[in-house]
Amino acid sequence: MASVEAYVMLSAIIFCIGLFGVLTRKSAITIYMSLELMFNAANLNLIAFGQHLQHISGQLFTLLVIGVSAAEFAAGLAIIVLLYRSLGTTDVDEVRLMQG
Amino acid sequence: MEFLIDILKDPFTYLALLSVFFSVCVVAMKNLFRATVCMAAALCTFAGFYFILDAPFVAVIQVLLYVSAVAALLLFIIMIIKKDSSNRMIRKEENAWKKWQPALLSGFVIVLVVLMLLIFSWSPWQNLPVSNDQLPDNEIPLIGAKFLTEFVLPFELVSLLLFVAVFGAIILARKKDPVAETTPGFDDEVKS
Repeated sequence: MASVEAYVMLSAIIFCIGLFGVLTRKSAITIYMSLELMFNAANLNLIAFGQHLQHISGQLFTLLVIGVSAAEFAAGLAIIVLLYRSLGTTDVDEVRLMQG
Repeated sequence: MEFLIDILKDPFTYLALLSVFFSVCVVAMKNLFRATVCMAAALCTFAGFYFILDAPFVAVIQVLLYVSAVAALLLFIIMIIKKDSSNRMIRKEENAWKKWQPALLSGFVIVLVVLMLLIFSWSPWQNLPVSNDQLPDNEIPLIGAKFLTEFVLPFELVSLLLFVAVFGAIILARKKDPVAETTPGFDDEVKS
């Protein structure tokens, strides 16, 4: 059985891969996928600590986070579709309507 | 040697390697479709972690919600959206320093966490109280009971949030926008 430290390290690595994706990719959809990776890294921590401390809260919070990320995903994808329909691109560098 | 054999016997090692590999694929793939399939695979490995951590309910929810629903939704969106004419995948940055900033930042965080855990053996959670009553073998009744008693407010808030998000998504992605119809020149303004 792997220790909590191993899970924390793995989740830090996955989180940073997601962070790198969010910071460097230009496609809004790839940024979304990287965000999902970051969500899951956080969930892994919650489950690992919940198991380490023998407490059910880790799993409860993970289920709540999954619900929130599903809501975020639905609204975000609608925004991406709208963005594509009005501007013809999902390139986040091209979208600068609010930049004045 | 014993340590190495222990590592090789642990399913965590293989799942960790797979999840890091697929996560790198998600960020590195040029083809959006392939990146989505890699994301589904990475999320499957996370479900595997939940299984070996004795949280089978969360693992099943993960597969149902992330691997099937989210990946299918993403594939539909990718089908709707035409491939961008430019093949540029990575944001263009003028100077070299700015180009390396994201890599430096994420590498720094990884090195920091690994150093704290391995070299300084920083583990404040060792002092946290471990609950006296062990988790039951079947946690699903406990999860249900907790969600309807102690955690009823967050549970209801998440359901409200999901309702609002789905409602907003339908309003946003509707074909005919009533605002655009009643306001002349709204579409042209957005396009210019």
